[in-house]
Amino acid sequence: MTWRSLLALVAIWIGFTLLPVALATQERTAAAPTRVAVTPIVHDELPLDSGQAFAERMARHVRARNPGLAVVGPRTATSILETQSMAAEWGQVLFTFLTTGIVDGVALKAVCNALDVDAILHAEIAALIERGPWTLWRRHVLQELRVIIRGWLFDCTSGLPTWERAGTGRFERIQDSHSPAFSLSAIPALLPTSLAVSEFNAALPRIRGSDSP
Amino acid sequence: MRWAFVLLGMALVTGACSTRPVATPTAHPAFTPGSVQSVAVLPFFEWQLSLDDTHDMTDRVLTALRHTSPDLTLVAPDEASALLIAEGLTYAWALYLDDERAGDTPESTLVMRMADALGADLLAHVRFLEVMQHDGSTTLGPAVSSVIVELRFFDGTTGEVRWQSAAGVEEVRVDEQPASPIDGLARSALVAVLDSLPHLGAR
Repeated sequence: MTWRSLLALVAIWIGFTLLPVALATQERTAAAPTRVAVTPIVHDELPLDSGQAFAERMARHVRARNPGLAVVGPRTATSILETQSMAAEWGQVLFTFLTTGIVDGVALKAVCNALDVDAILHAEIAALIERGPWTLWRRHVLQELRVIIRGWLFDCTSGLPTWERAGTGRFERIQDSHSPAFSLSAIPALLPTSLAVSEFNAALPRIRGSDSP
Repeated sequence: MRWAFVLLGMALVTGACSTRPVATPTAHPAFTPGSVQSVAVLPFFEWQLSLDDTHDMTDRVLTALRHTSPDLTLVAPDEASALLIAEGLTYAWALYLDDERAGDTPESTLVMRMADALGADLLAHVRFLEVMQHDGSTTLGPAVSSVIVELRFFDGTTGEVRWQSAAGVEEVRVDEQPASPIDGLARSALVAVLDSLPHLGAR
C-alpha cells in the first residue's frame, strides 16, 4: 500500500466519521432561529422607556452572544407591530400565556410573520419582594427591594417556549427617615442600569452556538 | 368560610421543622363522581414558578388521577392546549381567569365550550389562591413565604366548579434572610390536595 492510498483511506474514514456529525449539526442549525425579535417589558409599575431600555440591553447581549443571528430590537419590533396593526395581537398572545400558561401558536405565528422572525425573546418582571427598612444610624434607614425577572424564547414554528430563565436584581437605598416614603414605582426605572440586567443578560440563550436551548 | 378552613389547614414551616399540609376538599351537592368518564387537565401559569415547575405539577395531577381512577380517559395539558388553540378558545379562557381574579363572575358557557372541544366531562385546573413572599428585617420580622394551592374540577355540562380542594403552606425563616422560593412549598401543598382526590368513574 502506497502512502497515497493510505492517505485516501484515512480521508474516507474521516469523511464517514464526520458525516453523521455534519448531518446532526445541519439539522440543529436548520431548527435554530435565524431571526429573533426582542420585545419590551410591559409592567404596570415600569415606565415604558425603562421597559424599552431593558429590552435594548437584552438585544445587545443576544447579538454579542450570537454573531450569526439577525436581531430585531425592541424599538423596531414595537414600530413594526404598530404599523402592521399587530400590537394588540402580540398583547393578547402575552396576556393569554401569562394568565393560562398556553402559548397560542396560531396567534404567535401571525405576530412572527409581521416581524419576519422565527423566534421572539420576551422578559417580564415576575415579582417585587420588599425587605427592610433597617435603622442604620440616627435618622437613616436602609431599604431593599428584590426584583425577579423572568424571560422566555418563543419558537414561532412550534409555538412553544424553548428557553426560560429567571434572574434576581437587588436595589438598596439609604435615606433620611424623615424623607418621603420609599416609592416602589421609582425602583423599576433603575432596571436598565442595575445588576439585574447583567445577571439576567448573562444567562441569555446562545441560539446559534453549542449550548442552544 | 372555605378560606377559614384553608387557613386552619395551612401548615407552618419554621426553620428546619415542617408540618404536613392538610387539604380541605369541598364537593357541590350535584357532583356525581361516579358518572365521570373523562377529565382534561388544563395548564396553568404562576409568576413565581418556572414552566418546568408548572409542568411537573400538572404531571402530578395526571398521575394522581390515573392512580385514584384508573378507568378515566385523561386529556394531558399539552393536548388540551392544542385543542383549545385549534378552537380559538385560549384568549377567552385567559379573560375568564382574569375576570375571576378580579372578583367578577365569568360566563360559564365558555367552560362548556371548552369541555366540548376537549371531549371531557370535567376540566381540572390548578390555581394559586395566595402567593406571598416577604424578606426578613428587624422591623418587619422574619422572612416569610406562603402559598395556597387549589385544584378544582369544572363540570363540562354546567360550566361550574363541582369539586375543589385547597391546601396552604407557610415557611418562616427566623433570621433576616431572603424569603424562600415557593416551588417546594407549592409542590408540598399540591401533594396534600391530591391526597384528597375523590374516586371518579364507576367502581
